[in-house]
Amino acid sequence: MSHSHKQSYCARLMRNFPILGACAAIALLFGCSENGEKKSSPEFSSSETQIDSDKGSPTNIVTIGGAATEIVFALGAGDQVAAVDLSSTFPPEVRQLPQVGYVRSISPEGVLSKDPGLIIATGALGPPAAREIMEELSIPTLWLPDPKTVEDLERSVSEVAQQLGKPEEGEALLKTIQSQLSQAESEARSWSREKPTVLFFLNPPTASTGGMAGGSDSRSATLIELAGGTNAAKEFSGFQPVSLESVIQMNPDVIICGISPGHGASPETIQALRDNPALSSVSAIQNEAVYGVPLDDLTFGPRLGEAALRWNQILSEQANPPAGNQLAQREP
Amino acid sequence: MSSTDSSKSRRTPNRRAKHWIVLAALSLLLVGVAFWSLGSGAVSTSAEEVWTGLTGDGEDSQVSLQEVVIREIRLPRVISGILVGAALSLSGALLQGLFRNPLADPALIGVSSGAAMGGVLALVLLPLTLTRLAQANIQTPQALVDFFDHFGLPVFAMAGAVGLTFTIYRISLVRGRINVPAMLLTGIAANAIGGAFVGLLVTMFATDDQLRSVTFWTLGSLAGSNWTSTLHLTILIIPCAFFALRYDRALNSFLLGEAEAFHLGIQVHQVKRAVILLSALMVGITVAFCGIIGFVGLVVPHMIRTVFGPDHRLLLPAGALLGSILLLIADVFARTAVAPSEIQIGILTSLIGGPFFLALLLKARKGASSIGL
Repeated sequence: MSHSHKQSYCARLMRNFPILGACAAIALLFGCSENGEKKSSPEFSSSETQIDSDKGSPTNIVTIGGAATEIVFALGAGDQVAAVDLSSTFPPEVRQLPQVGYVRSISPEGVLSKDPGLIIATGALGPPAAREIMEELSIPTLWLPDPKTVEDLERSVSEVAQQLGKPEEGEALLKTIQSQLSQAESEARSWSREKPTVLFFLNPPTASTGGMAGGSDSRSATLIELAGGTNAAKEFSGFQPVSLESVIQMNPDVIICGISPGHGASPETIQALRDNPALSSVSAIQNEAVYGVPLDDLTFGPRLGEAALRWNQILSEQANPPAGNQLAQREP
Repeated sequence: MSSTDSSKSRRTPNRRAKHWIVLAALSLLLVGVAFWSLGSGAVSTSAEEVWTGLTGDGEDSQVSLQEVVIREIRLPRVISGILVGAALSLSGALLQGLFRNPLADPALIGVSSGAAMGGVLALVLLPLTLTRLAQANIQTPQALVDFFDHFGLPVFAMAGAVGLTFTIYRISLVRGRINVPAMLLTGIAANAIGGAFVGLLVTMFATDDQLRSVTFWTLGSLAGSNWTSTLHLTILIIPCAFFALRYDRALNSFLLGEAEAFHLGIQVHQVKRAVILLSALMVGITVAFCGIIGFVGLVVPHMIRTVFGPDHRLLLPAGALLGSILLLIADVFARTAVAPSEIQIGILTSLIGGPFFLALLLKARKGASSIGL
């Protein structure tokens, strides 16, 4: 590198680092345009976080996690919700609310910028550092379990109902869920054949790639049990990619795929799965038992009972001699 | 910074004064950028609030949201940013001095991958081993468990970085000279193996949450900073940086070549070992706490060299300061560009550093710099 000392440092810098010059310009613009609306700030007591239950129902709730959002809305407190996260997609009106990022990559400061009177978050909230910060700070936060079982859901509903001062609504909601689940259970007991084996795909296999299937300890496995079936994928836990060969080997009676806009399956990919010649030997294909369900059946929120009934109806068509092969109800 | 010596460079009082002026200017800039960084984020804060957040009023009964955010979220993050930026630039400058080549960047030649391998090994296998031992009814001393809980990750990451740096150095040293293509190719191999290793461990052993933090290992972030991690960073980085700064004159003599440095009375082997160890330790620490943040170690020393020349007595301290400044600026972008979410800072540094690296290569083709390719 030859340096002519006649040049000023600045000129040397700019000549050699045009990228940096551009970045500096952008940074300046950014700095100048950063005059957000200032809200009046709430007062925090910096002692140990205690949610004040005497204060009645808080307004300005931020819900993080699909199940948390759905529970608050199901209890009729939707008008108190100020912001939600990206995983909250139901009921439809939550899409109009401000976003604080995705449940698994939450920025604590982003949540605080929404000025929350109460945060209701599922245990899925991440990264761990964000959770630690939120626990350290004196932000009134109700932590719900990351719902994987019926017990988790019941606990969440009662805790939120208690927090929002809506015990009757909470009881009623729990009763509804319970009755839907027991309806699915009794339906399953009346089947003439044995329990069908079910394989659930988060992403169905295509001609070129295997799919993401739910193994043991996954929400889909729990839902299959609730609907009266058995999970075909027992060799692994959680959601894992499986090859076409493994699907042939598992040979499920029923294949269910989660449909959602954005990711998961679409009616086209499900049709491609039905038409895949490699899978023609699989029972589910031969029985024409490949179904699509809304992917948020796996949210494990207040609609868990509905989801169990929907899956139960699908399995009924296989476990009871067919009464016409209609597809399960698909929600847009 | 250095005692008297006349053989290595003509040091006039004038030059010395210039060094101090540059360092003072950079320090002032760093303080300014730190304040700007404390004042920007998803929650809007005024300069006044930044000040009260920093000083506190002692009356801790009612604290405003802004104060909490500044004191508990932004301040540790800014301090971490300063430490990590300095450590990355210093390790980049040390490696470049050792390899006598401006392309040696920790992330590029694979040191960061080594650290990530070690880190993921600690994340996945330590808990697994402990549960296995417990299942086999073998008692592990509680002190050991506590130590690994707190320091297992950085210790493993540092070990991975050190091991890999020594390997790369041995492979690229051909007949007493550094072979640059060998160095870069070793880096490619190390990155490939490291990435595969991280992926493999994660798919085989990791829980869902660990799986989701893999992006953290491949693209760094300062989002995990809290007072505990900042304290650990300080304890680990400050001594390394202090020792690194003492090798300025030795690295100056390395510019001439190892044999020449030896004849100047430099303990060449001792210096090499120390430089490898220090740079790898610093990379290991930053990777353990913040994941892989690439290109800072490449860009910053190069900027200093371009503007102020290759004298390590200025390059090391000025590089440390500039590294902190640039990382803080990048972090402000990471926090504000898509608020209320965040971008990973590693994405930003690679976005800027990647083209920069290409520009260096293009320049080298025109014969304008001494990259040695």
